[in-house]
Amino acid sequence: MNKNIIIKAENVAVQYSIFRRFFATKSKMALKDVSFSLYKGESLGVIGRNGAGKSTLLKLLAGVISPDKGQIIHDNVSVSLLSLQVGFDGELSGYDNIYLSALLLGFKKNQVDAILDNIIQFSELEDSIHQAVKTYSTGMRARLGFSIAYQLEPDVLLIDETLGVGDIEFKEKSIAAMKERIRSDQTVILVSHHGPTIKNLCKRAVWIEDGVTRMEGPSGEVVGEYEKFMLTNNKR
Amino acid sequence: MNESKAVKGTKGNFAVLHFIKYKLKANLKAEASRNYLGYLWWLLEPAMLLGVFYFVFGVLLNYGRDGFESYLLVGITFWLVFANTVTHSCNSIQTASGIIQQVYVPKWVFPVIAVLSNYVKFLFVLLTLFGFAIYSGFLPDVSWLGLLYFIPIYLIFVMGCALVAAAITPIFPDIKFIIQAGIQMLMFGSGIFYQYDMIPEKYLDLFLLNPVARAIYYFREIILFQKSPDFFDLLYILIFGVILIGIGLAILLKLDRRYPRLVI
Repeated sequence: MNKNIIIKAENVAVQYSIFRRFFATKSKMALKDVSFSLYKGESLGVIGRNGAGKSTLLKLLAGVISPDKGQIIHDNVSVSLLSLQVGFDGELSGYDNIYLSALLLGFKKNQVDAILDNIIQFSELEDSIHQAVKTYSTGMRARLGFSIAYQLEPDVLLIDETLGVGDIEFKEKSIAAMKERIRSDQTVILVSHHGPTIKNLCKRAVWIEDGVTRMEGPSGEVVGEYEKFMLTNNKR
Repeated sequence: MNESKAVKGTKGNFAVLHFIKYKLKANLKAEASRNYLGYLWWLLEPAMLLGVFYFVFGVLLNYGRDGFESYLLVGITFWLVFANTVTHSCNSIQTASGIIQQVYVPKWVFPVIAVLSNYVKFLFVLLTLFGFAIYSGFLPDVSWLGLLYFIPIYLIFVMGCALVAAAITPIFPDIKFIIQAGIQMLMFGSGIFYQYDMIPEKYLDLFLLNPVARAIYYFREIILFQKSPDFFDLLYILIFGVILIGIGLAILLKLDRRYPRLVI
């Protein structure tokens, strides 16, 4: 295997069974046959329309679920999904939630101690950090969630659709921060159904349609084919 | 190259113990913050419940012989920790659905947190029980020292039941109704509300095969009659506990990365 490849997906398939009623389960293949390679330091775009299996792919890469068929090969790298507000408990203060959420994201307790000030500063929550999160506005919750997740520095960062969150001002700030991160040395997989986002931020892209990889290559070409496909598909 | 079917989310070094500690504290804190009296309820709630039984059976009905209300309170206390713990841990994985869809966490963590938070509250119930017992004239005795190892053994058994319940509920969601019915059945089969001499003698051994009934029987022997359980009784309940914990953990580990697909 090429030295620069850090994750390789080989013909992975994931099946979900949908429980209907007694003894009548129906199964749905969320992913049928997906293969691609991720190179160290690159930003790989995964494009596909809603329901194409993008979220399932992210869960698979993050190690949340395991594939039914095929395999994902990697060299013991850490892979994390940029998860916002994971494990938040409204009854607890923002401060307590930072610990809960960060521990869930894979930080050690002493690491959280070290980044605590950064998180609070980035979130601009100031004194509200000691109030219960249930008293926060949606925007404030989003700020806190983003500020925690943004501290993650896994070997591979997985990003699902949204780059920025919160009110207008914070949204700009968070999008800028995310874009900077994607363009840095950080290895990123960015998932979206939006062609221009992928074209702007990623050099290479993978197009997934109905659980199958349709194409892998330079993002311009892949997005071009994807948009052409979507156009003809919508006309029908 | 590490060729595995499963991908490791973080380098497999999720800070499990720190998380359990934090989440446990957080849950207890969150629960307390929902009421004005907060932590005080952990003492008030069992005191009220035990008070009701004390009043109804001890004062109003003046049921049976002397000390029946104490006999009842011991039974209810140890019964409740079993019923509450199993009931709460049943749904622990479903409740954590939001978390397990996004990050990898070993799934055994969630029932264990549910069990431990019930045990913390149980400590307060125990204090209340001892208060009632002493008030009713059952003074602490050397034999009470037996509780120091008998209670932990009973809690190991309860944890085993809770882990098995938590492990299978996401697979067959309907089973929680069966578990509830089972708990009810076990309540009547464990001699909480009746005295042992009401059971025909030839069935008493059979009755005591039920580990909950056996445990409650010996808790009464210790607290009310200053007797110590023998080695065999302890071992009997411990073996049940260890086997159940083994089964529960085996299922939880085997389906570790399948649960996120089951509890959407």
